[in-house]
Amino acid sequence: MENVLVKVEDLKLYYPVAGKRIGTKEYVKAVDGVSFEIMEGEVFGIVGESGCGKSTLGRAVCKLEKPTAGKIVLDGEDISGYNDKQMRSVRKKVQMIFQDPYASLNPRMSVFDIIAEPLVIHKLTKTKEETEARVLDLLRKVGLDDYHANRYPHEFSGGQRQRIGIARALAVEPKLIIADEPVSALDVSIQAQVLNLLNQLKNEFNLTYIFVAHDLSVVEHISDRVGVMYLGNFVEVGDKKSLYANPLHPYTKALLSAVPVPDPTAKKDRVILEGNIPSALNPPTGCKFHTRCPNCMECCKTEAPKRYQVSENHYVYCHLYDDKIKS
Amino acid sequence: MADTRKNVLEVKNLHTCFFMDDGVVKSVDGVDFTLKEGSTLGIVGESGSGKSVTSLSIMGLLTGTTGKVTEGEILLDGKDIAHISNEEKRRLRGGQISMIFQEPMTSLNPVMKIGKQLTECILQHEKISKKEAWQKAEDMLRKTGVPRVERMMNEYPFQLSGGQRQRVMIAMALVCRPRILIADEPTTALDVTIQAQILDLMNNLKKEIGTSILFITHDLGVVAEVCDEVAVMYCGRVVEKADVYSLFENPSHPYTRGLLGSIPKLGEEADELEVIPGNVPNPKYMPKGCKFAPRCSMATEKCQEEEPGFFDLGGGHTCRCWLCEKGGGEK
Ligand SMILES: Nc1ncnc2c1ncn2[C@@H]1O[C@H](COP(=O)(O)OP(=O)(O)O)[C@@H](O)[C@H]1O
Ligand SMILES: Nc1ncnc2c1ncn2[C@@H]1O[C@H](COP(=O)(O)OP(=O)(O)O)[C@@H](O)[C@H]1O
Ligand SMILES: [Mg+2]
Ligand SMILES: [Mg+2]
Repeated sequence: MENVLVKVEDLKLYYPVAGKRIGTKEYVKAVDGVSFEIMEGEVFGIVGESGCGKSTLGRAVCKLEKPTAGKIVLDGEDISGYNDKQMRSVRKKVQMIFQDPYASLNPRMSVFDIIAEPLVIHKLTKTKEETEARVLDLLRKVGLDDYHANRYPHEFSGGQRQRIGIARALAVEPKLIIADEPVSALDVSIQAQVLNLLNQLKNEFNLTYIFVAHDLSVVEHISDRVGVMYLGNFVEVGDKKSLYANPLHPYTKALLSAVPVPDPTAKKDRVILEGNIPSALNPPTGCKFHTRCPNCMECCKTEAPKRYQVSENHYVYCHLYDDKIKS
Repeated sequence: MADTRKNVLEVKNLHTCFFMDDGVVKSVDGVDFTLKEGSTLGIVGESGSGKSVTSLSIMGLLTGTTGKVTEGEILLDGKDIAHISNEEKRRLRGGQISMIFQEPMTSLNPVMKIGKQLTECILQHEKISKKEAWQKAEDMLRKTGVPRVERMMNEYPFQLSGGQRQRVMIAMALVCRPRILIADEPTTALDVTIQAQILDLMNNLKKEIGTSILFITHDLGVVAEVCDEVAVMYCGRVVEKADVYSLFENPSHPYTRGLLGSIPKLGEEADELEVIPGNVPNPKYMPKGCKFAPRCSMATEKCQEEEPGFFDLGGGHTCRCWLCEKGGGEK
């Protein structure tokens, strides 16, 4: 039977910011009560427009940022209350990959040192020879060559830098990799190379991914299951196939219909959404999407929707799916 | 099937180089294309392929860089605009040709209210009263679909969201009813729902005002959505040109095919994406023959040695690849 690797319950992360009046505080509700589970070996995609809280959620799950509330169970271990010291052993199980590998790679360190660092910190190799062999092995695994080890990050292209970031993440043999927009800054031909690499490594090392991105086609390609976020909450979570073929939430429908399709003969039934995403400082009451929703009902303005299960592995947070309201 | 539309903009054999301390970079190396009246021509290619430099060359915006148009012609309604004075170029910009960028703040003044910016732009090109100009500015802004137009006229750019700024920039670019709008990745930084709004807006305004659009993007989905014609660029060259339907139905250059293969498509399952191996060559070490040959799985010895010209595939579809040689005669 498959194991649950990640279990998140009602996770919240609020950023305090200075309020309008001096001395007061307000909160950006970046993640506002999110629950999900991820099975071992699964790729869980998180999509949504910028500012909806994808990156914050990714960072909160591995406690790079301290959650305001909620529970995180990783590999059977409840890490919700862990302090930094307790987190150290957990860091070996979870690694992150970022959009801008350049910003996350120390420019003064050679590629060798960058990849060797986690090995040394976590005491994963005993001798210099062992470290060296391991670094070269990792380089080859991500499609780089031995001679790249002595070079510095600025000597590499965007795609190659992302490979370095991936090699560093793999060094500690993690179980879970949280990838935050790992291909968003890359040209499409390079993006395809990196996506293929991530797929290949997943199979080879039996990895589990949380894959955060704003590009719906990329997320569909790489994920098994997908959660769609809007203003700090999931609005829909489901099996990739079910969610993309049969989107339920009006927001998911609008989002999917807005994706430009590389086929000029494709028919477009576009749902054009009015306006912009409201501020996470002062989100709308009720369903947070109601201000832009083409199907908004009276109850949507005041009541936050519950989670409705529509098919075996497909959930939606929307009053339209409440049997009582429907009839 | 004779095309009777007039040529608004013709770019012929355009070469633009940057003269650096350590050598010359040929960023645009013999580019040809024609923009027809009332249509949208897409220029698509990966970063560094020379799309922006092409548009800056047309706009006469290379001053202040080490870049220079070294060869070729740029004709607006048949008249050369590549070799005119800076003053004449300035008059063209914002009048006959205008431009929108990925980052709206490059064309908005951060310390001037929106209304004033739009009005000044109008007054530079039209002899009307301030009051009429203000009215005109408001009307244009309203057409872009921004909310609370009267209030926004009195706001500064920083008070607006990214999508709103993009709309203000579009208003600014179109308020003088230009012959040509050059849009350089105008939606790349925006979310898809906002992108859909902006593309819709551009399509509507194009119909209403009759502006021809040169649309620069790296996104083939966007190309399929808004363009009538397409030119695919690689290493400072156009490698394939066609109307949008033939390009997607019959992509003929291995680079075009590679690009199409590498994008994940909604609703299509694939374990692996097709990839174009390797990277774009360093401009300082350009390969001798076809610039794509080192990454091309179909390259022959001839491709390594000799750069192909354009081969005509019929119906205005041309392709710069030796593989197309058999198909038709050389142009
Ligand atoms: N350090 C921070 N302080 C205050 N607000 C923040 C901080 N980081 C992110 N935010 C806000 O939290 C919300 C979610 O941001 P983020 O998680 O980066 O979204 P996404 O990754 O989906 O674009 C946004 O409104 C953003 O402005
Ligand atoms: N101001 C400049 N000085 C020197 N080289 C430049 C300058 N602007 C662009 N280039 C070079 O010209 C080439 C084409 O760039 P660009 O037109 O911006 O590409 P694209 O818009 O297709 O991404 C690149 O190799 C780039 O480095
Ligand atoms: Mg983010
Ligand atoms: Mg550019």
